[in-house]
Amino acid sequence: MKSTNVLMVIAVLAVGLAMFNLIITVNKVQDVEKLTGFAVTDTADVNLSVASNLLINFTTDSVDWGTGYVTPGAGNADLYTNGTIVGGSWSAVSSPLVIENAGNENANISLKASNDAAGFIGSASALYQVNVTEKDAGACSGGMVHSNTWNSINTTEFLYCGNLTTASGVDELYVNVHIRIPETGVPIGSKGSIITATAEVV
Amino acid sequence: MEVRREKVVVTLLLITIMLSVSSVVVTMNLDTGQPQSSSVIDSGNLNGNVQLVVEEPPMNIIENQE
Repeated sequence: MKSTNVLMVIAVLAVGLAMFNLIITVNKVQDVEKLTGFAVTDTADVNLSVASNLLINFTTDSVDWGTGYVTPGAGNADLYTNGTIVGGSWSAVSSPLVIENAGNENANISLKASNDAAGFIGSASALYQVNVTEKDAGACSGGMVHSNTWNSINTTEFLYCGNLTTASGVDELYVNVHIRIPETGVPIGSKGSIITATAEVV
Repeated sequence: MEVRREKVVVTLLLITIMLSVSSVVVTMNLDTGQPQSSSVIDSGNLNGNVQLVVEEPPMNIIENQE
């Protein structure tokens, strides 16, 4: 008799909990319908927001002239990323660096380098310059600074492109590079520099 | 025999209650909120590398120059 009572109490508890569970589940399912735009009438609204996405990429991120020397008597060697090599034996590089705005926010683009000409090449007479241009006209809808001119690049950030757009086909910049290597006073060996782009949402 | 059967039933009911409680907890924690779009700020590949190697001119070229 006693065990039957215990059994009854436990059974009632189980049924009660099951009903509570059912109520909770039904309520939750109704919430899901409302929040996902489930149509309870003949029209429905679904709201969403597109997140801000600032994404800048070097789609061409390497310039490597290989191994070479300054032609004796030339005084200097000038290396350009338009394929021109003057006074040196390095391999021609015909592709500039390319920066693309792959996000959905227009952005100002600034550049700086990990070192200046002296730090890069190892001579105070060396030059390390960039020439930033729009790959497609109108890419910098906010205007360009020092467009299509050679400017020394160093560790100080400098703004080159105002408002680089996100529009497909009008969202890229060319960054051409020029290096001048003096014939004398330059240590033999590998030289490297990293150009860093900084994007700031307009 | 009957006592043993009752014990089995009690055990099964206890298991049912535990499962029911677990189910309630899981259901109550179900996230039915509107999906939140995170603000994505991805810097991408921000670095371009410029490199070369400087070597001595070959001796025959130097001699020709001289």
